[in-house]
Amino acid sequence: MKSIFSILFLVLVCFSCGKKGEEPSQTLSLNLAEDPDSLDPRVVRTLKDLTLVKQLFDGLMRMDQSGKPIPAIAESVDISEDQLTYTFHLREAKWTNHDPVTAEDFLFSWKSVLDPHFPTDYAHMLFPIKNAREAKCGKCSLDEVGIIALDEKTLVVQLENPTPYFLELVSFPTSFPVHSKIASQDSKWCLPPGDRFICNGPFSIKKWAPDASLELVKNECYWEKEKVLLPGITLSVISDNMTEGLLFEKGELDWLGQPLSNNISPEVLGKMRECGALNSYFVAGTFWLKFNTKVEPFNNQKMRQAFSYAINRQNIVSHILRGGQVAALEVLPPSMAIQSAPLFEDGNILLAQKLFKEALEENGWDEKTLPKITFSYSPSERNSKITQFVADEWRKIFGVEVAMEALEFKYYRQNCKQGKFQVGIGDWIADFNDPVSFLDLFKTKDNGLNDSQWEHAEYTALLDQALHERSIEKRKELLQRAEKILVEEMPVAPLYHYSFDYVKRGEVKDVVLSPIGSIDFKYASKKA
Amino acid sequence: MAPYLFKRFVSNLLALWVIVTVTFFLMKAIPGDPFTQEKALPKEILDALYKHYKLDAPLHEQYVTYLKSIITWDLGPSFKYKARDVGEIISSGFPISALLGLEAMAIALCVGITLGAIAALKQNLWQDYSCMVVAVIGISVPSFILAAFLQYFLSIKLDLFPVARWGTFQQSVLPAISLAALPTAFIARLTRANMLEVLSMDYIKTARSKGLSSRAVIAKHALRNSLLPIISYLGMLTANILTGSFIIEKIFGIPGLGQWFINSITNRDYTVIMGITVFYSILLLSSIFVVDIIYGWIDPRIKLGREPA
Repeated sequence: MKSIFSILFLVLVCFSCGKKGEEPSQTLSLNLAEDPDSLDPRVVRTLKDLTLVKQLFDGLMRMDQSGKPIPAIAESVDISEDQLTYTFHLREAKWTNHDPVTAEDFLFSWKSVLDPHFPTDYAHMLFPIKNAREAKCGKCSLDEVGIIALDEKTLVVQLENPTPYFLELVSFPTSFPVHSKIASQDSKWCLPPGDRFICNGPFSIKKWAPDASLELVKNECYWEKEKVLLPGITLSVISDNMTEGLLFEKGELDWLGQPLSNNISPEVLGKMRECGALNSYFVAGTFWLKFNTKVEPFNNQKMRQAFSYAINRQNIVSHILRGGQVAALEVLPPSMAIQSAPLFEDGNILLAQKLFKEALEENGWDEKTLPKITFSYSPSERNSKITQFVADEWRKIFGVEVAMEALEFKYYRQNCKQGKFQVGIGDWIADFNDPVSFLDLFKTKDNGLNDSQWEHAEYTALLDQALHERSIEKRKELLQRAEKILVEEMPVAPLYHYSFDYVKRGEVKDVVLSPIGSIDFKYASKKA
Repeated sequence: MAPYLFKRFVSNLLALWVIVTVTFFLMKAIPGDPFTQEKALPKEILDALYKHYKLDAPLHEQYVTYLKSIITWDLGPSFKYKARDVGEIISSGFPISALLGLEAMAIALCVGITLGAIAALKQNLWQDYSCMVVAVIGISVPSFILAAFLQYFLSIKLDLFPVARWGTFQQSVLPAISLAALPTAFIARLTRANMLEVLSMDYIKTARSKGLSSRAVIAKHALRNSLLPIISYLGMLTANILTGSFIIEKIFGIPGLGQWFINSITNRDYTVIMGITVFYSILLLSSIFVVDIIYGWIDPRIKLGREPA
């Protein structure tokens, strides 16, 4: 009898072992190109810090695997018929100090972002809210901003205009909550070594040694902790991409590449490409050439078109960049594309030469009297190669002289801003996945982001119409027309759409790559 | 001695003020500011930021504010790394760079003086040539090449030392060697040249003819006198090596002070630039001062603070 029991016991043990076969995930080892600027969600601005903050905090919404916002701290949301009032019903969620996350916390952090005295770069993410822009400019009081905490668990937000991407904005770190009591009383709550750090996301800070390492551990107070498989993430801070490559080779790192660490070093890139281990994902960004539409010769539309059509984008993508990028024949990147066909033909030399001649005639120039062309850029491995290639094409196709002007990055940016350039390079990576994140850049010439200083009455009118349009279909149609005007007028010549290269260890699974470039390790695992 | 010390102190203070002023205006003259970045900011946001950091105030007002903050050593947070205070950046980075620097300096002194002495004593023999070949390599191979070379062979191929990061003694070996290469070579050449000169002096001949053993002659007379120029070199070297090297710290991922010298300027991180400049100047001025005092103590011919006869 005894032996039967022992056999039964053994069988049971084996059975449970067999079932238990799932090994627990190991800690993930990543690298940061530099120390985080800050881990306060209200002030972070670089893609790297935005990515980090998303591991530490949860907003009303969070991006799922397909890049769509799904309820996070908000359990549900009611949207009024006129799309101007959003009522968020919060779930039972806790801060790492076990306090509940309340509507008051959201109210506090949003109002501090909109406070004219609070230094933050991304306050404009909240500008769709009623009176938010006015409050940030000090033109109205913070109490007039359209955010109300009805009770502890209900947050009502009133918008200025219907904003179909508003739920995406509340999944962006600027709109994440901070613990209102702690943040208002303890000015050092978010500083290293991180022992006073309070957050509400999938991970929390174990130790932050500035410039050396940042250790995250799974947050046991997180409302959806059963979905978080990683016991923690260790991030070292190494800014040299060669060293980083060696550490990956030695097995001390699990992931290489943007947005957390540097661009992968050319040596590693070559090796990984050869063995097929190089991955890439689309990022909602576009690299372009910008023309100064206020100075000769690029104040002429045909001249801009000619210089843009002459470039063979496919060559840039397949011979210079050699990653997952695609040639851009429109401004909007693939994740938010609204056109059914490309807006122009790549490398159309005949058309380019024809337009170039017409432009010369229109202005009474010939090859000799054409104003000298200076091509400005800030040198980096990529920028230098692209500008040289493009300038060479122009020299060959039009027989013009092109002077190259390489400037230190901030110097270059300042010159562009002050309009001291003819043609230069530029780009944009969207903060939210909607066409207006790009199209709004060119809405007026004085918005500070529009270096080309281009303005077009019909374009501005179309965007204004789209702003008030409630029908999704009609809005899309308006935006389509706007993009066509933009590409026809060519204040910027799109060259290619971005993608990020990365290399990871095979054991690392279920990392969410978002179209705005950040990555999410909430659902990730690493199993040997 | 006391009036001399006082005079030196005042002149150092004056030098410091000149450095701070020149740095401030040069810094403001560089195009761009902390908020010029890849992703341009909307105008409303920029205006609020300028106002918050008082960058919209006239230049002379900003200068006075800076002087005040330097005197009280309350430089405030970095513009870029909002989680870091300038004082804290220096107090956490400097000990690490200094430790690494001391390690490198110890290597440089021991190896450099030994190589130089051997070369001088075995002048024009194979020992001399091989020591000087090592010295030439040390001077001509840039530290980052040496660092990458050491990393590849000693960490990846032979697995003797960690590739990078900071915290253990093993992790400090490769960066210390890379840092020490140049000063080692320099010290070796200095020692050799001086020792050759000293060895031909009359008092060495006297010492030898008195019947002193060759070891005593070298240790007591030759070596001691040939080290004088090395001490003045050490003054400069100390300030340089203790504050860290940008490139070595970058390659080995060391959280030292060196990287801030370059990064603060590329970021136009005004508070950090000023803090680091003042700190470095104080260190440099005082180490030169200390060397001058040591000099007077070692070489009795130099009398500090006395009018030349």
